[in-house]
Amino acid sequence: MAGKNITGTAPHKVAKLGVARTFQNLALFNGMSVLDNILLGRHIHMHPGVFRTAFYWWAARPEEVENRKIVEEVIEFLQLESIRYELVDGLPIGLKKRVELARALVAEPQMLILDEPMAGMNQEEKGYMSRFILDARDERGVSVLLIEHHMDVIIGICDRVLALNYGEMIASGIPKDVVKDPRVIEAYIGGSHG
Amino acid sequence: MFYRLSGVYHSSLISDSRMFKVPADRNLAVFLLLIGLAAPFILPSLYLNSYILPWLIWTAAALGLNLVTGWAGQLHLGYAAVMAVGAYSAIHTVRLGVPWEIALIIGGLAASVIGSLFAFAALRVKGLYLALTTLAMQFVMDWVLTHSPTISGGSHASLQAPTLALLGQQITSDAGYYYVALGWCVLVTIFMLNLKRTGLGRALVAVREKDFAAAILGVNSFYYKILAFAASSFIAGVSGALLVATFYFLAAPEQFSVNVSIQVLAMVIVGGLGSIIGSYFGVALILLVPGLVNGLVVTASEELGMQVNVETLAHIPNAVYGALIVIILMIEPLGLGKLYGNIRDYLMTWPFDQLRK
Repeated sequence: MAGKNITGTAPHKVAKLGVARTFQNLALFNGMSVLDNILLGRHIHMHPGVFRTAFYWWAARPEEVENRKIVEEVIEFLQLESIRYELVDGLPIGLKKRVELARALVAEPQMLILDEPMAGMNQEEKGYMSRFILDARDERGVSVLLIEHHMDVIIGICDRVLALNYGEMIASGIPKDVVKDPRVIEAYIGGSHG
Repeated sequence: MFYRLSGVYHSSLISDSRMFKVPADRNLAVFLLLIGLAAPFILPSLYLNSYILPWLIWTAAALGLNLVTGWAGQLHLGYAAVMAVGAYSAIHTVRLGVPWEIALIIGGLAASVIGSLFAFAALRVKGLYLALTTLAMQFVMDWVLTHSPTISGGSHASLQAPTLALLGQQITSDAGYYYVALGWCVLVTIFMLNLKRTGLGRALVAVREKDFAAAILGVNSFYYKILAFAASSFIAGVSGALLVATFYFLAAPEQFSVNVSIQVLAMVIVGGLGSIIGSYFGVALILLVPGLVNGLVVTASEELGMQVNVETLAHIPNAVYGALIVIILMIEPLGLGKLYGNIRDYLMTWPFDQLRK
């Protein structure tokens, strides 16, 4: 990461280096609103403390409002305005994934890791998600590392693909070539039996 | 009532981050505060100082425990021990001739240091193990108090609290004690309300809900747990000191024994983890209902002309009160605070919520 090896660094420090990620199985904070969840994404840019909390009006409000503005931009970008104050517990999975993407994006990372953002989504939600990922890359200039096995999505939005089978690299290159690789077909789509 | 959410639109981020977003809530809070201020002129001083005053101080203490158990999600069974540290260090500081204002802060800081020291040891473990470790801390503290004459004045001894004096004024009147308690309770409540809307509160909830996800977002969960313990211990320490200064007037180890720890935890759980208004209700239930039920049972037995012997009489309130806790937690596991929230939300949109269905 930026010329440094970060293997073995504590997770909360990695975040400060500009890496943000989402989870395959969702890791939103239940019992909090969508807004609070996304605001947590700003954590590395904020300085919460006991005294700031005690003297909120002088010490914390400017920072809260400043960060809220950035969060609002992302909320608008991902079209989450209408569910801003809802608790995340009750949202459908497609929206939860979008909230998680928002939470990762507000951290303004240089590197965004998306672990199966399309898992459990229907075709329409996948379409939305792909659009958002592309927009995030183009407008916000983040590098996206996408972990995914929906072939249509990969061919649609990836620049470069690295195929793994049980931890071993079996192919890499531009998507069109990789999906034609016989070993990739064998591992992901299933070989032509007979 | 009559759709109190109507017409509430926030047009700036500052107004959207207010403590009470709904005017009705804000008005209620102001109204309650005014009643609180006027209470010494309304209520007889017997009620004021034997019911309302301990209720306020215990609420402040319960809010402190709520910070660590409700927000940060760490079970804490040694809370009374932390209060004891605050109480004893404040009293000894005053006896050395330091003014009360500073002594209270020193008491809070001492409690904070001891509380976070224990947290350091305890936070290597989670859940039930943490509960047990904090329980051990309670017993260690009990032992230290009863076995070190310099702190407690010897076993079975109690320590006289010097007269409370704040801002150069000796406080000896009932109303004076009450205002001190009210002031502290309001301060703690404001802190907790602020906690709800700042990064600190969010980080604590994140640590409670999913610490791995919190770490990915850059939240150092160990640091925030310690911070929660330190802040809550400070509140505990000052509350303990004020409790001795305005209510018990004597400090004795039994006042901060393990039963008390469990009682405070019960207050927080019955009131609702992570609920501020719930802590008020929870403390009221645990602190005031036994006496109330006792009175009711006595009156009822007299009215009915029944001869109830003293022993039965002593047990009925306990049974009723225990049953009440079970019933409340069965109706609403999230406690009285959530129960209040449900009613409030219903009334907030009444009668128009029916139209939507």
